[in-house]
Amino acid sequence: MTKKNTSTIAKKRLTVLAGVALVFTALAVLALPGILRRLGLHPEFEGQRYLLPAGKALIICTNHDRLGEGGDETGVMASELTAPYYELKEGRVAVDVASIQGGSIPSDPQSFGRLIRTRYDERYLEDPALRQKVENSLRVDDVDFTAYDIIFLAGGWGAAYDLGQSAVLGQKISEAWAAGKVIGGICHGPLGLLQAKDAGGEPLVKGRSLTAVTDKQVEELGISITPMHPERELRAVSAEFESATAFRDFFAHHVVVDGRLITGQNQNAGAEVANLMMKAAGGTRR
Amino acid sequence: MNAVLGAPRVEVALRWLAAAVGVLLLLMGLGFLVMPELLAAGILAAEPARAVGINSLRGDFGGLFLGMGLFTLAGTLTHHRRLLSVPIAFLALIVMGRLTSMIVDDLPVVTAGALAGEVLFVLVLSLSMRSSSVRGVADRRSVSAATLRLRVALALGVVAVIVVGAFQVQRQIGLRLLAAAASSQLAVDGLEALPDGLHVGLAGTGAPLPEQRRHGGCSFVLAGEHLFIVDSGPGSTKALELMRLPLADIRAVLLTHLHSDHMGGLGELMLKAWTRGARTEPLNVVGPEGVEQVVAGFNLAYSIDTGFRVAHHPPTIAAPEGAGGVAEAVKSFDADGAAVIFQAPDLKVTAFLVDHRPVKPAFGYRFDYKGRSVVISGDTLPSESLRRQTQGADILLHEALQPEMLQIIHDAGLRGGQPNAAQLSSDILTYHTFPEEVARIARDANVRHVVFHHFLPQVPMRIFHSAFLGGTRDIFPGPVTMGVEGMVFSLPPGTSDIQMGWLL
Repeated sequence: MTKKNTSTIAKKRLTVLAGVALVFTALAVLALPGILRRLGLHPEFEGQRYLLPAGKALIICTNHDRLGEGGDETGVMASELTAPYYELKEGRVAVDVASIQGGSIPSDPQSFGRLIRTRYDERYLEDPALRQKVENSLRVDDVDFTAYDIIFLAGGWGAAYDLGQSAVLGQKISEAWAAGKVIGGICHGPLGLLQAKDAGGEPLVKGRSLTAVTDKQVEELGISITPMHPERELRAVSAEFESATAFRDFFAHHVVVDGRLITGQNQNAGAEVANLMMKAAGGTRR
Repeated sequence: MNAVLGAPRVEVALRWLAAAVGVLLLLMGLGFLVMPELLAAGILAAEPARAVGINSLRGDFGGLFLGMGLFTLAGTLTHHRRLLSVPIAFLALIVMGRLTSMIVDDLPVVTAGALAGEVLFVLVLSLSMRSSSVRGVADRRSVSAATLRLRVALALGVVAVIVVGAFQVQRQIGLRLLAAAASSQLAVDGLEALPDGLHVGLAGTGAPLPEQRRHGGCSFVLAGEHLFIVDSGPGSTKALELMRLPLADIRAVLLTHLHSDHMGGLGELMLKAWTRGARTEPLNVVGPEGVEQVVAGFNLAYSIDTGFRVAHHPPTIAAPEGAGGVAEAVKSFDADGAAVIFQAPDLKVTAFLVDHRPVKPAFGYRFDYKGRSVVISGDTLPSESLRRQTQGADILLHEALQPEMLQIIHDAGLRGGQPNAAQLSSDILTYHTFPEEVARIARDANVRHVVFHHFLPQVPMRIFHSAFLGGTRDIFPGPVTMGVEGMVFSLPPGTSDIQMGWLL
């Protein structure tokens, strides 16, 4: 009798414990996106927004879709394309999307994960107009960069494979810079500045303040297989590299405005950099 | 309490009061059945009903009130006093509905009288029911089934006779009502009752997309003695007339820009100001460059009509020199893009440049009167000049375009094979302000009250308000009103009050 009672009680306790554990796990999973946001991932942009009526912007992305030979799928980090795209669009700017080779732009599948994706990414998934632009992106060689007010370089691991390596991109950015356009990018995007020159033939980034993905972030995420690391490469051409840090740099947020050159450290900076670029291009507060 | 209610005299008095309520409800039911529009307008302040509305008013309202009236009378006349619980329940539900509307609908409270009446009815009926139960009346005297049937048949018969009779004499009722209405309404000036102060009213809140219940853009501003009309969109003159504005007294019509939805009603407005008010000088029309051409065009288009009227009426009604309008273009602005266009003691009217490219120039207007201020945005993107002029304004009347709703229309246009409609909806994205942007501008400028008064796309029903406003109310801490034609906002000098009223 007593034995039976004890075992019943034990069973009950176990059930209750399991229940409590289940509830906590469910809560943790549900709350995780909020916790990540609190830590600094993709913070909602609450600063001053700008508009640039009748303005034009070009967002440049990678075409590279693998980490190393036959490695994991990668491409552009979705929010680095979608956040600036929608911020620019709400700023009444007409936005085109280009890539090094033109055509389809691969997205890092991780960027649509429940914990990572932003409201911009969700909007993109429902937006045939932008999807069409991403599937049929312009080829950098065919685009006159001086026809745009704003040139935005999106990052993602894929960008480490083709932005910094493209002489054409460097040439086009040099032309846009010479024409007084606003140039910028975030994360691995600023690698696209490496081959650009200013009017005197010096590297565009030389002596200019900027930011991009830190070496610490590359290390922390354990993806050093990529051929170019932004902090190392940009410092090598004498850029004044700045960054913020966090217990993981993935959560850090930093933006640098150096005249017409505007950069953001990583995926957290897309919305802010897009707005600051509209401001630099003569935009109005909205 | 019970002792008082149980007193025979109290019971009888309450019974008669309840019976009176029953008769009133019965008459209202009959009224709705016979002349629904009149009762809707008079009692409910509802819009003139259309086909569906009239049908429902006769049916639903007629049925509801007749039912409540009959149950009340049955409850009071037969000593089945519990029957009173039926009208009590309905009246309580009606009161609940009204209170809900007052909380969620953000409209001027025009039905406070009706609400008070209904609460009173509930009180009388409840007390009567209670008092009879205290006295045990129902147990003491009961009516036989045959008598009851007779009374019910009698009541229904009376109702039927009244209904049939009323329909028979509709012509007479109509003529009587007309006579009463004509003497009481023709002479009335809708603005007369407004005290000294700054008042702004909405007479046109539509945009080019067609909408049943909105006219082309038009507002009026009354600052002390000075009456201004801002914009004159198609159909808006009718709304001004229905609001009984003294059109002859218009100091000037101020146009924000020369898009048709803001000036297409100018011909009608000039005509009505002339003939209804017997003006002896043409209407002043102030606006951006090009206004001369617009006014000249309307003058020309109406010149034949003017000739007919001069030939037909004596000069006391249609003085030839009062016809049409004269244009005055505002051309010089200070460094901030502002120009004071009208100044009087206590009053300053400022036109300022806004950004409605490619529509250039385009204006907004600010009115300052005795320390109170109203800003009307005109059609514009967020602009620095508007931000400056909006600083500290009591009321900001602003246009707004909701991009998400427009996107839905755009996509539907594409799917439905209407690429032009789709193109149009994406084109207009680039020259209007989003509701949340208005909220940020108003917040930054310490505006007290935001009134949206020009809607893209259409907002035909209350249910769309929330979708239209988006996060507006999270950004702007003050009240936000979705403008409805007929609304008047009054700003008494020396206070910070903003009173919402109703002229339609």
